[in-house]
Amino acid sequence: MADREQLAEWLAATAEGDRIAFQKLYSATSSQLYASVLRILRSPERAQDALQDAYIRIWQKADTYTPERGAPLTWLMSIARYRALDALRRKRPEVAMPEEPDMVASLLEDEQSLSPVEENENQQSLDAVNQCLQTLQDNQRKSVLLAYYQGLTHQELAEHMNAPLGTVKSWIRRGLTRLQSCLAQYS
Amino acid sequence: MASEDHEDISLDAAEYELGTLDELARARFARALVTDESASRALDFWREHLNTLGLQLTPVAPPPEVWERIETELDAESTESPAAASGSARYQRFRRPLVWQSVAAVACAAVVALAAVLFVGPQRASQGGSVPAYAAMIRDAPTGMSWLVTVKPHSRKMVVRAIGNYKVPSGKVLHAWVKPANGSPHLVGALPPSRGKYSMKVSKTIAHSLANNAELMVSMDNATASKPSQPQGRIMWKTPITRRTG
Repeated sequence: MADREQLAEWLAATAEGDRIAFQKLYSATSSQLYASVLRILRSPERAQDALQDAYIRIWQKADTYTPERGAPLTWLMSIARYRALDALRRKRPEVAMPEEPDMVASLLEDEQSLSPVEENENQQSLDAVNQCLQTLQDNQRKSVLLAYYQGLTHQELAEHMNAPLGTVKSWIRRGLTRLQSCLAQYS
Repeated sequence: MASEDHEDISLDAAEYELGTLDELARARFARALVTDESASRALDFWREHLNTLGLQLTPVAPPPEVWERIETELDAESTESPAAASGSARYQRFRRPLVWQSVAAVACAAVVALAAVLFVGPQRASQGGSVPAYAAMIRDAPTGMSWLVTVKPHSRKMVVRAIGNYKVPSGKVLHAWVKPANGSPHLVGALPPSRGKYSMKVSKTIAHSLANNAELMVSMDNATASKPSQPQGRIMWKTPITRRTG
């Protein structure tokens, strides 16, 4: 993975219409973005469409990125996730990849599913988020992670977790409040 | 109370990024992003932190066809540069009511006097009855000053939206030019340096030039009584003029 400065440089060049820089940006980041949209859409075909849309959007919006707004990779990830969520909301897949029984738990526990930490330029933020997630109650943490990784709505979370809608909304809201307080200590 | 409001904004930002806001709340927060800087800051905060979750996933290489498809799409849009394309995005942003109203509130007569010849040749798009228009965005990176220029031939009008205030040295004037591919630049008029929305008529020659891979150029010239036939001073900015519909 390219470092933060390099990604920011390629983004800036992309904003100037530099196709080579854009290709380098794609090569350096598409695997990470694809993993995320694939988790949400659970269909390679739809995930590839969403990834294509995301990079077209990145090409068009590159000049709106500024380093003050955060790391380039999280900015790119956000665009890709929006594309995936848009695709997800438009139509649920008719044929999807099989859902893992407890994907979120495995994501947190299985070391194999995590990127090597030394490669990650966003390590500090990542550590903070992981530490802070541990301060959430189980249901709060699970609902936030399911919403992030699978793009579930409140209603879908309620069905998935077999809980009343209001309860799920409260889990999310309280979980985020707690997360915010904790993250503020790291900022 | 203020602290509660701030907390609500921050949590709305979190759920906006997470994707759990319902349609109504999402639209409400999107509006807040335009008018409330704290909403924008909160969204940056959550974007930065929540998306580290995505970075924990094992990367999966997409098939090579995806990049090929992206390249094909970019080639198809090759007449539209990223700057111009993002200009289109900005145009959408400017159409949001609160911003639009503040822009529209500014008087629009200042530049009309600079127009040379009326353009009276309306054109129709070939499909769907949509109306062709042309757009260009000029942005001065160091100051952030921007001008969005749109021309709708059917209404015979060029509209300039100046987003900010640009300090022009005393005795100088900014001149806007339309330069067709392989052609000489045509003077449009003085480019207004102060925030506001301005409209003016363009000449037939200029209107025809727009469809010819034209560029919008801005020069900084000495302020004189006579209209220059070509840029005299430094060319400050150049940007492609792109065709839009709608």
